[in-house]
Amino acid sequence: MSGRLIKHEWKSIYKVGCLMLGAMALVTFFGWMSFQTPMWRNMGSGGSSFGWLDIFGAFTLLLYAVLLVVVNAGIVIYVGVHFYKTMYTDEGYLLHTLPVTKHEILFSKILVGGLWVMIIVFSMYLSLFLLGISMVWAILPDQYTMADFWREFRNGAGELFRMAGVELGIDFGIWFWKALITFLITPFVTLTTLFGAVSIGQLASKHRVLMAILCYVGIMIAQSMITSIFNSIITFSSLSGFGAYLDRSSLTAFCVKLLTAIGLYFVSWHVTSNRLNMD
Amino acid sequence: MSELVEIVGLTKAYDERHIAVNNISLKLPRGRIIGLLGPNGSGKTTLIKMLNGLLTPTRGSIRINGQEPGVATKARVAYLPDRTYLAENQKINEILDYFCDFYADFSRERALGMLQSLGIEPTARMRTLSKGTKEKVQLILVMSRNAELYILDEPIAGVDPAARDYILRTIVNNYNPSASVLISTHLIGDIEQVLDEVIFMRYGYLVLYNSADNIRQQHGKSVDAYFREVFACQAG
Repeated sequence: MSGRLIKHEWKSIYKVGCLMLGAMALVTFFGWMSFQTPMWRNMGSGGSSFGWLDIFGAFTLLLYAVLLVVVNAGIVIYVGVHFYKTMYTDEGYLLHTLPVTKHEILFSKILVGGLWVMIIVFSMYLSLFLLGISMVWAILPDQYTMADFWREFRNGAGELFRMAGVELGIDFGIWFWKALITFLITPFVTLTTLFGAVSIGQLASKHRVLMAILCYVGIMIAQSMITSIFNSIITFSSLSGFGAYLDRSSLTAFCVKLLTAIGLYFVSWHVTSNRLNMD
Repeated sequence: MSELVEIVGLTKAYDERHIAVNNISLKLPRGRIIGLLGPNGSGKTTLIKMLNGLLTPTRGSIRINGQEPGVATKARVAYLPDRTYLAENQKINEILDYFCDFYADFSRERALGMLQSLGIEPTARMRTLSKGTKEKVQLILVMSRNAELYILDEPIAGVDPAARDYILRTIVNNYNPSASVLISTHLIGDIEQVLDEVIFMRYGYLVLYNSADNIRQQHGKSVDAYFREVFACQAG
């Protein structure tokens, strides 16, 4: 039954997910437009003029940054609202009377929602990469081609990472894999936490949505406090350098989030299994 | 195992003063159409929600086919809630796919036949349908299952008399004869002719559980008239 739940969950989310991807493409287009103004072109040739078009370009860049945040937060909020609607409003009457276990329901929702958040976050990184390319393209001196830039970038970046690694005491190879694993797991951790907060909100007899929001804010504050305490301990422990501190503190923050999410998964399961009270 | 449903000491208390269902015990047999009757706020919907696992009982137990409400019972119970539980942006066809995927006892052909007889397009989206048509679609979905227990919460409330007749015909003509149908309503006059047994509830208590024929014989009046007599003081 899990496969069927996942299929129908995907069908109910993919339209909004694709809309968000479309919005991300539009946002990227705005970002690209901002680098087409004369200011950036003149920068490449050493000029420094600033006209109305450049003001427009600066605003477009600002709009890009704002929309990027909106789309990124938008998918998490949408998936959270979708979870609430299908689990705890009238639509929940259908979902909770299906012959499936609560684990299957929660798993399908976390998996599909998490995948969509991951896709949107990936598209955000892609957008930033494309924006970076368009900026380089805009400011590149006339005698340079993109091929020249990439060749020099490859040579320079390797050296830069090696030097930074030595300076910070970080092995960038290991750091990359850690970042990748974090990137892959974080969307699921984020949604499991959000779903847990929504489920705890259902334990209130009134104002359940407000309770869910307050609960989520409370969880975020508690996570920050616990992470800060651990970071303080790390600061006073014997570490080899700033890089090692960064590495350890980001690992601590991730572990706190992961453990919270695991705990909240079981809270959601308990609420839907033993404390379900549909209005 | 002769009893389809066995309820023992079932209580649902929201708080100390608000007890929606109070220490109810009863056994529902197979192959009967049973009316769950009572005025608004008597605990009918709360009892039904507990049977479907949508509410957690405060005390007591429920057994359907010898099992507590869960995955196994949900596969055999067809439930029509007192509200629209289908997503507004879904097409009827998509909802049929959904039911086919999750309920092994769902007959798509039967559902399409009933939709056709009512002139409802399977390609229509739920949001384009009237309230009455949505209720009919939900009833069609429920009655297209070959379930062991049909639980229908207020299936005829809020629809016109012609639609009520259609709904009652649909229930009587489509339910599995070895199954039982539990119908909650306060519109007894419209439904009386199809009932084999009746349960009266008031303030969360079980007031009466008897066959419709017995009530007519013992009291010399229809179930509707007897219901009005029993609940007369409440109406006043």
